[in-house]
Amino acid sequence: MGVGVLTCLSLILGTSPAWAVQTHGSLEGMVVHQIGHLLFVFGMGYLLLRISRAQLKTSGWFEFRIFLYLIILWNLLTFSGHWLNEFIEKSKFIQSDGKTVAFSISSFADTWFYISRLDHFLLVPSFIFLILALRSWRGKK
Amino acid sequence: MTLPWNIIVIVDIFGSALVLLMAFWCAVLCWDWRKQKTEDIFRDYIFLFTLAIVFFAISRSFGHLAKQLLLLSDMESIWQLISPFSGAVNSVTFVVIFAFGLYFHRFQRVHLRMEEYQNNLEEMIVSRTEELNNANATLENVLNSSNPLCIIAIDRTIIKTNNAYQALWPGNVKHVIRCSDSRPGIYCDTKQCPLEQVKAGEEYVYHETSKVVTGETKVFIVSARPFHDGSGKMIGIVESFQDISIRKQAELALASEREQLAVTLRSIADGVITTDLDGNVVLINKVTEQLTGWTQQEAVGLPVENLFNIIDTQTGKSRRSPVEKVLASGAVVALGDHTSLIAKDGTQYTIEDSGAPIFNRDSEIVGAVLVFRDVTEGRRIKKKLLKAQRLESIGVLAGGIAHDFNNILAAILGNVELAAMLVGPDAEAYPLLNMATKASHRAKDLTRQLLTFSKGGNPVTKITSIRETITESTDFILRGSSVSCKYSIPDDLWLVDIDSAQIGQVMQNLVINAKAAMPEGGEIEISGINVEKSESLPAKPTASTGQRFVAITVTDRGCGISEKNLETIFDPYFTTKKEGSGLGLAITHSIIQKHKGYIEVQSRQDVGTSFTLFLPVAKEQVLVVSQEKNVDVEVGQGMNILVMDDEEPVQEIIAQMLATLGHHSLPAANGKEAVQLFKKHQNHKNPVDMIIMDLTIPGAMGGKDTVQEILKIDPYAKVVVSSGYSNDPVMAHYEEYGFKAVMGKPFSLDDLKGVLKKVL
Repeated sequence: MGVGVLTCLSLILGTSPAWAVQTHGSLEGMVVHQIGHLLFVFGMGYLLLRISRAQLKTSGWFEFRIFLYLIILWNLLTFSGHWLNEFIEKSKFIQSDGKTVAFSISSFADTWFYISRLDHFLLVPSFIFLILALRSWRGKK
Repeated sequence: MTLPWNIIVIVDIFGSALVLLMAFWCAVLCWDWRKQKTEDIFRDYIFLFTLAIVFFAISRSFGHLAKQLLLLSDMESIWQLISPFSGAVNSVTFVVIFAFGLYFHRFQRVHLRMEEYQNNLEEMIVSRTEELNNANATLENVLNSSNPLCIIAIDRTIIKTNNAYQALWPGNVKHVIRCSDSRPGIYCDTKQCPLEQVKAGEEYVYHETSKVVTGETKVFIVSARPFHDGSGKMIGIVESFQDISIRKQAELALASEREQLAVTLRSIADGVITTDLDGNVVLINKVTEQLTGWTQQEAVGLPVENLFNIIDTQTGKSRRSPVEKVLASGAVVALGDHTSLIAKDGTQYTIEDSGAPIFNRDSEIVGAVLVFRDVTEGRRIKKKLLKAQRLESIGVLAGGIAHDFNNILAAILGNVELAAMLVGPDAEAYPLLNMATKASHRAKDLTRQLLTFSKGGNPVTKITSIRETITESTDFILRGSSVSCKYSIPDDLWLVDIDSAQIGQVMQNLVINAKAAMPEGGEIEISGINVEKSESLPAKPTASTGQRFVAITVTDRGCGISEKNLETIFDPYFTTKKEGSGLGLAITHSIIQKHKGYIEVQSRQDVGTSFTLFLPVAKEQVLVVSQEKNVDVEVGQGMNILVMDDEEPVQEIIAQMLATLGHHSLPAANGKEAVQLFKKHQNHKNPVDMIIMDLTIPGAMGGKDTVQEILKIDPYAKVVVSSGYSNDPVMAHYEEYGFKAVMGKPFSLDDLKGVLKKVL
């Protein structure tokens, strides 16, 4: 079994072009991730729509809807952050001892990029509302 | 403008950590919530959705924390190596979350439908539960309103009992109790247990006697039925108990009462038959069994006519049973006289009976009861009693007539004899006077016979060997006739205490009849035997077992007596002979009765007749030899004789007869005069030598009392009693009354002479 696990790990980690039919560059991963965000958004949007249509207004559903709104916003924020990251010049990241210590903002995109990196300000509240929703549901008999 | 990057790093690290914590918290909350209703598919959905979010949060937070920590640790190369995986995992979670988002409505729809189903189901359950509770309450009410009831499992443990059962046999059914513990019985845990019968699947009803909580023993009718579950499978037994103790007691009391009634009925001395409305026999008692010859078992259910077969004794025709009349009229009906019951074996009983309806509580006739008694013997005794009374009446009449007649005869006979003496044997009138004397003697005999009916005809008994009396009387009658007599009298025949003259008369009567029955001549058989009263001896009411008799049987081979005449042969003046007086057998019967004996007769026409006299044996079997000597001495003349008689003609003829014999007479009409005369002459130079006194003086002192007065004056006075009641007890036992001699009226001159000789 140990041999099998090592074989799998070596295949995954040591992939070389010669073993694949089609090559997948780093941009592909980015695109896939972005599509994932979009699917996330669509999924949550659709869920929000269904919840609205279902007129689920009882306790907990309001918090859940806030959670959905926030998570959609978070997705859009991070989506935009990922997208901008492809276009941000490396010089914007001010290095010191090989580490980024500051970010130089010269445009709205730079600013939006910088803000997008603070996505936890959306993600944490969204989880708070998710907790509130779950607590509300759990408290209901 | 330059913004610090470390803020980004700090927010990222703390934000990721915070998200990581909240993700775990969400997982816990969601798990808890889901656990509250695991069957809720929507909760499952939210749970899975949350897990996907949590997984996303964890993967992202770990990724971000790893990135920041690796970068801060100058291990960017490692981050570069694992960052694609982190992003990929995130991407996958996005897709999963997207999928969950899309499937929300499906889950919700299913959830709603299920919720609807569940709600419906719950409503249905509530409704059904309510119905079930109502049904259960109804069943409980029914169960507790019924007789004691219990449900027993196949293994005999009690599953359920109602209140009535608990009241009788308390016990906590929640604990395992076997029916044998609740109600122990002798058949518990045996094959004879009644419940074994129910196992076959059929109802079984039986009686059970059980001790209840109060300590009483009660009797129940138990109905045991199979107890099935919903699928029809037998899972136990339902037992229902009906207390019949009171009914049982009532039944026992009724049975006891019936038994008592039956015993009473069977003990009644009269025959009793009860019938139903159809006239069929329901019950007969022992006397009925004896009289009809039918047993209770044979008779029950048969028409009453079968065993109660009655006829009219006089016509011999069958009579209808009174039951029919009783049932039709509803009144008491008595049978007419002359009814006889014909028993099964043909025996005929004379009966008296009556029938009465039997009413129930509602005064409806439910049958009839016949009560009858055998009066055969009673009727016979009654007939005999009537005959005896008739004879007694005749006797009283005869006694009265005979007394007066004897007085008249005394005067006639005395005068005729004196006249004959006066005219002398050569006179032309002498034969005529002799004929008159003979006629007077015949008249005297007739009055003597009549007197045997009267009270005064008591026998003057003496212990005697009857043999001589029989032969003398018989030979006298048969002398010169064509009928002979064969005697069969043993020498050791017991002595009897009899009046030989009367028994002689009886024998003469019987022999005369026997002789008359054989006009062509023949032989009479006279036998005598000693008998002791036993069952085989012909019945005589007054004779007791062990009493000894001498039985004298006179048998002829003559024409016999018809059955019809047999009943009346002892009646006075009944005769079949042209010249018969009809007194012979009547006198015979009277004499034998006065000797405390009885007479039986058997006769068959054209075969012969047999009369048997049963005479009681003398207590002392010793012959009394008469000391009396016939002193043939001449009595001197000139005696002074007081004659007391209320009849003047009698007084005169006695005076003349005494004068003829050379004596003086002193007449006295009654006892008082006689005593005065006796006193007057007592100290006279011619005292009274003898007194002849009449026994009966109407309205004055008679001989019986006068003699006592005379004897008071002179204890040696010679008093002779004379009476027309020649068979009066005083006449028979004159010495006991103080008389020296007796002289029955009418008496002849010779009789008077004999008495004078005896006394003087």
